Amino acid sequence: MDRGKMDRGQAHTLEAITAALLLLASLVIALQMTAVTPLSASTSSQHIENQQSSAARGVLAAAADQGALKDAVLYWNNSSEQFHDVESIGWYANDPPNNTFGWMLNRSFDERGIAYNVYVVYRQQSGNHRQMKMIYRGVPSDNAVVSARTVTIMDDDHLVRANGTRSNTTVLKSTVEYDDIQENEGTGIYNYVRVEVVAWRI
Amino acid sequence: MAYLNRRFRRDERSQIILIAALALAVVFVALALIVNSAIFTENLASRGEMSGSEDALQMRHEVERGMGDAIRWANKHNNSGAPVTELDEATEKMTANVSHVGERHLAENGRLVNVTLDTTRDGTRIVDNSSGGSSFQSMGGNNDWSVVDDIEQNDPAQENVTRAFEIRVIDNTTLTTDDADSGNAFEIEVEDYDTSTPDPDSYNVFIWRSASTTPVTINVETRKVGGSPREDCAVEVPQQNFTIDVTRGRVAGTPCDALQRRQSDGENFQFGAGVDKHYNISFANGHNINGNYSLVTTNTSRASSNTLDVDNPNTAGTPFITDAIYDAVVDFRYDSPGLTYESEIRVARGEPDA
Repeated sequence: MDRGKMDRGQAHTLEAITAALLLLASLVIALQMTAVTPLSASTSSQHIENQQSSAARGVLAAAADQGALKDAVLYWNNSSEQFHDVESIGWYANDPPNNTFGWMLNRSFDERGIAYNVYVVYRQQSGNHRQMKMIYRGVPSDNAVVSARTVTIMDDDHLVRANGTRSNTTVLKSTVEYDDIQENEGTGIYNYVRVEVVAWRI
Repeated sequence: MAYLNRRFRRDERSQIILIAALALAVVFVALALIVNSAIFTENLASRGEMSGSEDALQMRHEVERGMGDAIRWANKHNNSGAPVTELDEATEKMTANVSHVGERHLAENGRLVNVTLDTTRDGTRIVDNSSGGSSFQSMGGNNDWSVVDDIEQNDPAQENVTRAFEIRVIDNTTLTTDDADSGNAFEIEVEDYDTSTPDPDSYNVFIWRSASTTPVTINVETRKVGGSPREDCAVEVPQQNFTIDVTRGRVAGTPCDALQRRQSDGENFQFGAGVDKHYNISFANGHNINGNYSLVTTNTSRASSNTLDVDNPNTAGTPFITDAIYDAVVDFRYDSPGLTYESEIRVARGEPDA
């Protein structure tokens, strides 16, 4: 009987080792098999990017429909040749501008912890496009989304004063940054600018 | 073999541990498979709409706004009284511009857009644009006068016959503080053209300022069909000059209940609600308001010669009438690699919302 026990000892050990290896291997395979997709919950999930893209689109569409987008583009201080109440750097960094478009951006983005930049892209007389910063909060992260909307400015549009009322200065006679592109004379189009909103989660 | 009765010795049991480990391994792999299916299903279910129709609709909206600007420009600069055919030519040229603007922007992204003018409907525009404002009296100096007669719906499907009725008050102290019941407040009356019917419908808007409140509160009250139902709104306006958009229903940019659809029961107080689409517009107490105004209607015949002047004579304080385009229909086409979208867009800026 004693011989039987000694013979079987190695088999038992082998069995235990094999069982342990089998279990370990299956655990590793099961964990590695689980799919991690762009939609998995994380700060860079595709869902979040889609959501921010829709929010940016929605804000631009609502602002354009109300006329607030054009007012924001023409919210220009004729004497200082900048937007009203910008910081010394030349664009808004801390707070959005004090007009309807700025309040909309504040409600949609600032209150939700989403950072954003707003650029105004316009055509110069030479035909090149130039990008001007309206609101700049820093270099966007890798998962930022962009949404844009075009605004047509006519020759007889008026600038907007700091308190939101219409100024008496027309765009044609102002110091506004966008050039008068003067094509198709007599049609009254001064320039057409693209307002781009870049949003990303901080 | 596993002999589990007590007759045999315990160390002769066979490889139970190995079998158990094998079973567990199979269970883990099966669980991982199930989790994967759930993740894949969620991925499939939440894929967004891929064909790019959002871009097409956004471009459509931008074209509509661009055309609204174009028509406003063409109407505004027709002060020399050019015949309507020239106005149509101007609109065609502006449409070509709007198309050109869109093409250039989108060509960079590999999209094509094309906008062509299909039809326009003529109307007239009534304007008082005296710089510094003037009271809303007729050319002859009457406080109560008929601004436009015989505005008619040309097409049964047409919803509105007046649009872009904007009043720009330059100095709010010129508004009277007498309210709607006093009979002194400035009033806009819209009445059935055919007053021979027993119960002519009417729609009246009264505008006045609250006495001594800071900041100044502008009151607008609307009464339909002989006194009831009625709706009013009071808006605080800190600036001295502000705009009342009567057809769009806004006072100084804030929506006004007295000029829109009532939320609680859907009663419609938009401009001309309740009145047949064949009506007259008149002003009463035009001396109790001061500023500029303009409106566009489908009426194409000239008004009587002693209330309105013709084609901007630049006489201060005199309202005038001029030809204008009431609405336009453009054909819009958008092409992208995966989508072609064609639509007709009717452009009539400043109409009451549907």
